[in-house]
Amino acid sequence: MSKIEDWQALINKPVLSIDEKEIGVVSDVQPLHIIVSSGPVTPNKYNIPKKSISKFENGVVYLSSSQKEVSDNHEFE
Amino acid sequence: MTKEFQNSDGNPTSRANKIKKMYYELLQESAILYPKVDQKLLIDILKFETTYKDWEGSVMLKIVYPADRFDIEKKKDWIYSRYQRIPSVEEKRTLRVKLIRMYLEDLERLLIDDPDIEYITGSATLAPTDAYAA
Repeated sequence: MSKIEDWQALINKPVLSIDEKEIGVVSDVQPLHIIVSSGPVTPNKYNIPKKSISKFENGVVYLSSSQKEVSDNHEFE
Repeated sequence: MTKEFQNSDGNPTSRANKIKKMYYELLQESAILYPKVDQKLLIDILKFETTYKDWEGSVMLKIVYPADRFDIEKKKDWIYSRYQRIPSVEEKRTLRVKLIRMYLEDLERLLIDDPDIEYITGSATLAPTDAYAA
């Protein structure tokens, strides 16, 4: 995991899986997870462990998990 | 969450800086004490509980378990036996339930009694929302 100093800087930033699929945007930062929302009206929400973030670069959050892994393991709402 | 606050004694904004620093310290401490709880939910419960002495602890909780590691139906039964309220299941890993008398101590006890819980989010309201249901 890349060392991120200011977690609040991730808010509203797009999140990409390791297979370069867009998961959504960061809607909240919690102690152990980032909350990623996808969709306009009733968004799908994912709680993604901070340790699954590989890097935060040029305003984009990159994950070390695939879209399927994120969908299977982290969607909660 | 790291923010720099300058010591600005004599500066008109020093009070603002001081109170912001205290707020960020509260958030940092709450992240250590309740790492599995949504910080907005935690702060709302704290605010209602300390501001309104007769607050009934009315919350809507979303209790999230790790995917595919637990039988969500057993967890649902456990929540029912504990609170006599039937939760609904969302995305096979989240139990959604409206409760009353859920104060910080009760949230802490819930997390101690079920260490399988991965994350708790939801909302706190001043009045039980069921009271206004059509």
